[in-house]
Amino acid sequence: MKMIYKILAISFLLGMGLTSQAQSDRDQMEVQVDGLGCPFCAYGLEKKFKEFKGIKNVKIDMETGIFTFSYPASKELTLKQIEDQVDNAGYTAVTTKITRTDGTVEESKAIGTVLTDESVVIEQSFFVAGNCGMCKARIEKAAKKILGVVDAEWDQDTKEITVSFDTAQTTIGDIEANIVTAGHDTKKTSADDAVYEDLPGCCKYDRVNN
Amino acid sequence: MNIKNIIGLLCLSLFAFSCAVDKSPQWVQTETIELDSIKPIGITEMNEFLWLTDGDNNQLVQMDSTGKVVRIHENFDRPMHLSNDGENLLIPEYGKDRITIMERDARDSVSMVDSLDAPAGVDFYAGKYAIADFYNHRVLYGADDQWVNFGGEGKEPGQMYYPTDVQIVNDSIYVADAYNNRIQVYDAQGKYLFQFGKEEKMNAATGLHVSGEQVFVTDFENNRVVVYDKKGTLQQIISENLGKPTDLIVSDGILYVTNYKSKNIVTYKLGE
Repeated sequence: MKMIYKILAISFLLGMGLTSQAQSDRDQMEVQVDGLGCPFCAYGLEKKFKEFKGIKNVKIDMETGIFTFSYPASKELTLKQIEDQVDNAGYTAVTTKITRTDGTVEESKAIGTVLTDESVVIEQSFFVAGNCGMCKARIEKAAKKILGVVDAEWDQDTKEITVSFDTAQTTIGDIEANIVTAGHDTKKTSADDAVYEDLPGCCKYDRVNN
Repeated sequence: MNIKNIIGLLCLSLFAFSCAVDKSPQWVQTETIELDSIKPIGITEMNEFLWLTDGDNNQLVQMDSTGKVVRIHENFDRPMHLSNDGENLLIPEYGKDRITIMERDARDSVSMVDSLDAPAGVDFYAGKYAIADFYNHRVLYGADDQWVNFGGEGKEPGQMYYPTDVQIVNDSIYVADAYNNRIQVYDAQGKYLFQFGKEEKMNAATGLHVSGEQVFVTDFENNRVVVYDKKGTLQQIISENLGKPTDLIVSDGILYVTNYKSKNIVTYKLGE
């Protein structure tokens, strides 16, 4: 009988060790995704990520837009791969963070515009076509990607984006061009048809110049 | 022109104007049922209870008609626009690619010959199911090993772009063609009949309910409910106090609208 207890105890300890090792073999990922207002799209993002072999512990918090999962450390998933995957699914990653198994943390960093003595910051607005919260996230991110942009806010009702930018570092034309590249028409320029077609369903706004 | 002619002309104009105004009774808000942490998506009524799917929390909520939660049923995977067959609840599990049949506490699933990709809506009538198959941009209609499917990705009449809800009405199938921002109607063989809703510029027509002579549609991003007759003629737009509406039903003369963002149900009755 004692032997049976010993075997059981050893098995239990071995099992604990394996579980612990399995946990420590996984990197922890956290992505803050903007514009997850529609449950069909949000659950779709979760569902599509579940298709990747090796992904576990997939969770999505609709209130905060934080999407988390774990992934085998041996596959060395990068920040860019995660962000590309989010983009491919039609969403916008605001911040991305990977906690590696050794405790190292990798984080994506937003472009930070540094103002100088020569900076002249002005505010301008222009029309950008879009529909929903996901559009808002994509449009604002495209504007903020331009070095020299201090702030950008798109109004879902008026369809106007208001940008503050340093005229010494960029122009309103550059900002507009980047938004168009992201798939959104302005009054002057149309987005590429293929990019428009790849937008999620809820972002399919009425084309401006068609 | 003398004074009599002028008065006569005025009376005639007033008469013509009154004929042009839609005199059909309008739905008027009566109550708001707050749901606290529940974020409702689908709603159905069975056995004098209201049943809500709460996709964020992966649960089914059983309520009495006053809005009091009677019981929570857990362990669903993103349940969406549910329905019932009179005895069983039919719950599309978006994350599990199946339609779950729930009779009391027992769960089974609808047997299919084809696979689903994110079922978002289901209905049952006269022995047949209709299923809105979201990522496959189609509707499946039938039972056992006899199914037809129709739609296909696109914007042309008859094609679909992310359908989210469906209802069988006698020999017709009404589909919430969500991201084409319209309702489409097909016959029982899946042949396209007609569409409506584009004129109202809906933005995500997510939920659908046909009751009597009216068709109710939730216009998710615009925070509206749009009411049509069964031919698609606009009858009313309800836009007050709605927060990302996802689904609706009419039961005992009350229109219940579930609001995903506002976390509540708003009710309406027909005015005089």
